[in-house]
Amino acid sequence: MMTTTATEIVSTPDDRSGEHDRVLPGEIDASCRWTVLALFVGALFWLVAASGLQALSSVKLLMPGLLAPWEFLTYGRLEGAVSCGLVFGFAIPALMALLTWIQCRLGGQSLAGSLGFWIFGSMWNLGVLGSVLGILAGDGSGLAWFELPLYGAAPMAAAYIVGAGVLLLNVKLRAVREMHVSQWFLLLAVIWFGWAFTVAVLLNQTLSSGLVHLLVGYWFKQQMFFMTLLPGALAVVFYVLPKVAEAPVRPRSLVLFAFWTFVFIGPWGGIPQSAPLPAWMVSVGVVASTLVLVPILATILTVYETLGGNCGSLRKTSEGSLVMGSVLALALFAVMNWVRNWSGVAGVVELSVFSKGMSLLLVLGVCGLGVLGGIHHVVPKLTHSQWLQPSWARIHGTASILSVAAVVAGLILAGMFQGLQSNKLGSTASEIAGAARPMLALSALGCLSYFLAQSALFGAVLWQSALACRACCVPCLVDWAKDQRVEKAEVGR
Amino acid sequence: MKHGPFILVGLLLASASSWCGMVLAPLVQWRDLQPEKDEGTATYYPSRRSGLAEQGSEVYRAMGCFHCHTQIIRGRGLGMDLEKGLGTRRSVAIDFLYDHTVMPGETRLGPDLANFGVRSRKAGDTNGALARRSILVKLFDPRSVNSASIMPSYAHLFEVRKISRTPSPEALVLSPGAGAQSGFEVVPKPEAIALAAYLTSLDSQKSVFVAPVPKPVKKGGEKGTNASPSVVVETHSAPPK
Ligand code: HEC
Repeated sequence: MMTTTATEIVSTPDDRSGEHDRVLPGEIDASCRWTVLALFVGALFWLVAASGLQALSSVKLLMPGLLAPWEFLTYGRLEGAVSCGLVFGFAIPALMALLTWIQCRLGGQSLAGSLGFWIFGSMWNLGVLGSVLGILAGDGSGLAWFELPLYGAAPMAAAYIVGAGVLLLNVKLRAVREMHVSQWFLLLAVIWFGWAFTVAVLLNQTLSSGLVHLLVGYWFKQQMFFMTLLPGALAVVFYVLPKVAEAPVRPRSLVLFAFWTFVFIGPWGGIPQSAPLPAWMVSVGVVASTLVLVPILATILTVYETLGGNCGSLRKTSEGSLVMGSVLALALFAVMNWVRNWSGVAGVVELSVFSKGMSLLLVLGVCGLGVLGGIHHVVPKLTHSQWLQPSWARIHGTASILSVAAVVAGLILAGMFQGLQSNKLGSTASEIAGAARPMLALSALGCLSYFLAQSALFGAVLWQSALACRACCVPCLVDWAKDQRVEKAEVGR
Repeated sequence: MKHGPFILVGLLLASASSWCGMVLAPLVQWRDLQPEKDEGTATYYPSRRSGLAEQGSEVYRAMGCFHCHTQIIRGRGLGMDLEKGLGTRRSVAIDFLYDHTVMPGETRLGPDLANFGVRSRKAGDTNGALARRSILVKLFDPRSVNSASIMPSYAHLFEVRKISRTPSPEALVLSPGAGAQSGFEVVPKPEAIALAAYLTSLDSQKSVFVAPVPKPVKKGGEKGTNASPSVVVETHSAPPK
């Protein structure tokens, strides 16, 4: 793992206008230490909670009698709470924390306006708590991946405006003017989510038609998955990657091309072929899912070129493996997202658990692994200490990658078997469920091990933060106690 | 790229154009969405659900049934929904015109319910009472109907109570071992009754302009009919007792 004093190998030396104003990495970390750590702790809490609920819901598909009398733990409610916890509880605030730190490091600046992030963190997490409890109590909106009830969504939207506003202010105040690739993706993710989220919440409140809500739900899901989680993960990848590979991102022209084509194609996809929407929208979505392969493949080629073809170098560190896992998940996602629209394939996989597998490939694979890689990279720097046991970090990285692979592969294969069986004339519901069962079991196993791995990470981050807190507070307390003693002695005299 | 504003303008252009295309344009297209009149019967499709069924749709949403059941029929070439008799045509926007919450669903872990109201009504069940009863039994204990079912039990939508002098006419008739102890009866709460009313109201078989029901070819003496197909679909293997 790198030390805090390692030089920033992030862009070519001629990019470094404003270099003289740069703050040292140690000071930068000190300025954002508690803000970023607090956001990580909140995000990891939700990751553990959501993956625990996910493990339960996946086991319930195999053992429907498990905890059956608990109304709030029925499958339908659990699923809504899981998606809310994973995306809104974990992914968005973890990305905000990572992007904030990355911005400070790349911008060569101390964190400005940390109060804004504390306001964001507390209001956002309260909103998520309200939403998850609300969904478990039956207040979900009925829109997949956007089930937030208004009383959760409204404070979250307000919190996000504050948090994103302060982050953008930090971008503006940067000492190093030239923007790194990672910062382009950062801006894309942060701005796009703010806009899509507030518009979706407002539209669903002001317009009462169920059809409009459905349309907004499809649109928002695409903007959140494609234009927020994906570029957010890429921002982390393009920061961590050059560090591990000790080389700048190259070729710049290719990644520039990838960025802009992605920005203009990405938001148009995501409409299922069976959706009850105008047929032209479905066609536009299919074309966009095909075209978006180009920027994604260009991005992956950039990663390959940056590594100089030596992908093995990434495996040396846990963050390298996790980031590589995220890139591989992205490659798989892009290809499958294209293939799923082929005429022979769509009729089999649509409306099966394949769709859930694809969503989780993006949320847990592309975004989740990238974010975990970022956390592995950043936490030791913020807490001034290595992970307790570097080998544990490696084990956590490998366990996370394998668990996500099992969850996603299980669902994707289960969906295919389910679709093939259900397209047989005269097949019964039990036969269809039976065809998917073995692969659903694999997925449930993946969910359980993912939950265990993330619980361990949560514990480790809490422990490291506590140690850092002690290291920071104990000397202060000792000084204070000394002062008190001296004062008392003086009064006594 | 040195300039944040350059990126900002690009992002603004991209997001505004996609929003206009993927949200505004369909909203404009749907502005004139109206119920369609069936000239033969002089009825309109779709019609509003009853208040009870409307409440039932809220229960359907609150329970997250849409995580396992779709309400969407795919057209020819995309799956075998029509061949399997799940519906007579593909689902389109107008089918959901009056729904307060539209829940087409993304995953079919259980059968599609877009036309459940039609197929649950057996011959002779004129007012749908029998259909509603069998649905209530299924909701109370799905595995009493199909031992391999993975559907959760919604027993909390029912009240198990001591039988007073006269048993409640609403009480479920359950198979032995599936119900309450002797001396007790299982009575649906209002939520369960509303949910059953919603499920029996699900019917999207009528022909509409954008998705007409194909007329069967008339051959010889056979009479063409546009009635619902005989539906024996992805349903439980054992009949309700
Ligand atoms: C875990 C997934 C799951 C959930 C959640 C679920 N179901 Fe089911 N449902 C099934 C499966 C599987 C079947 C088919 C097997 C059987 O008959 O039980 C089924 C069957 C049905 C049927 C019979 C359909 C037919 O064509 O015979 C109805 C009606 C039904 N469910 C309604 C509901 C309602 C209402 C809810 C919510 C309160 C719900 N289901 C929640 C999985 C689920």
